[in-house]
Amino acid sequence: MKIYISADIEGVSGVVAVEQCDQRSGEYQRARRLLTGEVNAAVAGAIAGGATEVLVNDAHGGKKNILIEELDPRARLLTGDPKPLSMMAGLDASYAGAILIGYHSRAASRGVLNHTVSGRVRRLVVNGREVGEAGMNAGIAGYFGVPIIMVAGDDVLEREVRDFFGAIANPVEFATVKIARGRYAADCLSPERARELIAATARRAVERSEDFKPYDAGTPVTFEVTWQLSANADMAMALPGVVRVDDTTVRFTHPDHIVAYHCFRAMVALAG
Amino acid sequence: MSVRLGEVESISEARGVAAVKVFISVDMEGISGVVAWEHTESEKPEYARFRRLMTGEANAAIAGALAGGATEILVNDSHGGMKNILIEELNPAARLVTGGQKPLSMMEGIDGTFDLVLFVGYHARAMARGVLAHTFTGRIRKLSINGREVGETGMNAMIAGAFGVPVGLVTGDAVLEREAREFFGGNIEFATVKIPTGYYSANCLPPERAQEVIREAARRAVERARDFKPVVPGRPATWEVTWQLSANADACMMVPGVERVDDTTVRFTHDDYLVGFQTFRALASL
Repeated sequence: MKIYISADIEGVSGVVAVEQCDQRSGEYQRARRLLTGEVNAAVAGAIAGGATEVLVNDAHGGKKNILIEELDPRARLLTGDPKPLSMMAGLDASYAGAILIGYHSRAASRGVLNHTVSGRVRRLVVNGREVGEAGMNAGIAGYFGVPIIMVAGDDVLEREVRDFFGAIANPVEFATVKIARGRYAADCLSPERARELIAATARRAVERSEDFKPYDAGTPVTFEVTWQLSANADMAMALPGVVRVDDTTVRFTHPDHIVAYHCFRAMVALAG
Repeated sequence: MSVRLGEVESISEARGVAAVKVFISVDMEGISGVVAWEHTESEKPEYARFRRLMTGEANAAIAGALAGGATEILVNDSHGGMKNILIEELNPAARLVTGGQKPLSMMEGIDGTFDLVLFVGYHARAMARGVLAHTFTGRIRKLSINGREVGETGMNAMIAGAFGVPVGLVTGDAVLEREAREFFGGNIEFATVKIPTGYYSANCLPPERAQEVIREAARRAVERARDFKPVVPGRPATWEVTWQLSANADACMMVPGVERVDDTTVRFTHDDYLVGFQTFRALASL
C-alpha cells in the first residue's frame, strides 16, 4: 500500500513566526528540524498502519526544507522546486491515501500564519467552495482518485478541514498539534507529544484508508481568486481565458482540473 | 475519530487523579546570568546562550511543579517577541504558548481552570535598583493600579486574580524579592537566583544551582497551592501611568477615556480589570 505525504511548515508545533519559515533566518534551522520530526512521525505511523511505500513531498517555500539526512530512511523524499503540481508533486493514482502534515488555515482566517498559497491571495473559491490549501490540494488528490486521509495543523485548520470534508461520508483524521492564539502565537504541544499524536493518527488513518472517499470537485473546474490588490488582478488578466469578476477578483474555468490549477499557479506567479 | 488535544490533556482526570493545573509565565531579565539587554535581544549573538538558560529555568519550574503534584502545566513565553523558549528542549510534560502579540500578553492562556500561577525570570519594576528593572516598556517610569504602585509581577498577579487564580512562586533577583514579598504580603515562595550589584550587573548563582533552587521552590509552592490567595483587582480599576517623556503622555491622549493627570502622567478607569489591561497595552504600543 502506497501512502503520499505532503509536508508544509506553518502548521508544525512550535512554528508561529514568519522568520521561522524563511530560510534566510537563523530561527529557520530549528523550524526545519521540528518539521522533519513531524514528517518522521507520520512516516512511522503510516508504516505501522500498513503502508509498504511512502513518498514525502516537501511542500513549503523553496521546497527543500526537510533534512533528508534525518528523514526516516523507509521514505523517499521529493525535494526542490519548481515541480509540476507543486505541493502535490509526485502524486498519482497508485497511492491509497494522502496525508497533509504541517498545514495551515486559509487566508484571512484566524489561524497561525494563515494564507492561501501566497500573501497576495485573500480568497480562493474552487467550484463554488471557499478553500484553503488543504481543500485545494484535496481537489488535486481527488483528480487522481486519491483520498486525503489525515491532516495535521492547528485548531483553526481543524475546523476548516472538518467543514470542508463534512459532506463526505468519512471525514479525515486530524492531529491538532497547536491551538492558535493569534496569527503569530499558539499554545503548542511539545514536539515529542505532537509526534506521538501524529504517529497514532497516521497509523489509524492508514489502517482504515479504505473508508475514505476521494474529494470530487466536479467538472469543469472554476478557480475564482480574490486578490489583496486590484494590481494583482490586473496582472492575472495577462493570461488567456482569465475573466475579470470585479476590481480584485478574477476567474478561470477549464474542463481539466490540473489545467485550471496550473493557470491559478501562473496567476500567483504573475501577482509577484 | 481523531485524537484531540483535549483528550490527551485529560488523561490524569480519567485515571481519577485530582487535576492540579499550573500556569507558568516565563520572562527573561530575571534569569540567572542575564545582566545586559544584549542577552535578551533576539538579534544579538549572546541571545542564543541566554534563551537556553531561560529554557533551563522553565524546565526547573516544570520539574518542581510536577514533583509538587501538578498534573497539567502550561508555559507562556512572556519576553519580547515571546518566542524565546526552545520548545525542542522544554520538558514534554508541558505545553508551550509561544509567539506574540497575544491578548493577555505575559498571561496568555490563563483562565479559571488553573490552580496556581508561577512567575519565572521576572524582574523588578521601573526605577527600582534591580537588574534590568522596568515595567512593560522602557518608556514607563511608574505604574499604579488603584493607588498601589506595581511592577509586572503585581500587574500580572491581578490578571490571574481576575480569574480567581493565585500566584505561588516568583523567581528573579533580590530586589524583585522585596517587591514581591511586599506585594503578596509575605505569602509567596521566592527563588532568588541573583543579587544585583547594579542595573547591569549581578552576583549570579550558577545555572545548575539556580535551577535546583527554582525546582525546590516550585515544588513547595505547588504542594501548598491552597495556602495562596488570588489578588483580586478592585472594581472599577484605575490605571495611572507616569511616562519618561511628556511626548509619551501626549500620544496616550488619542485613546478614548484617557485623562491627563500632569505633564507626564495619564489615567483611565474601567470596571473590568482585563479591559483596563487592554487599554494599558494599547497605550504602551503608541
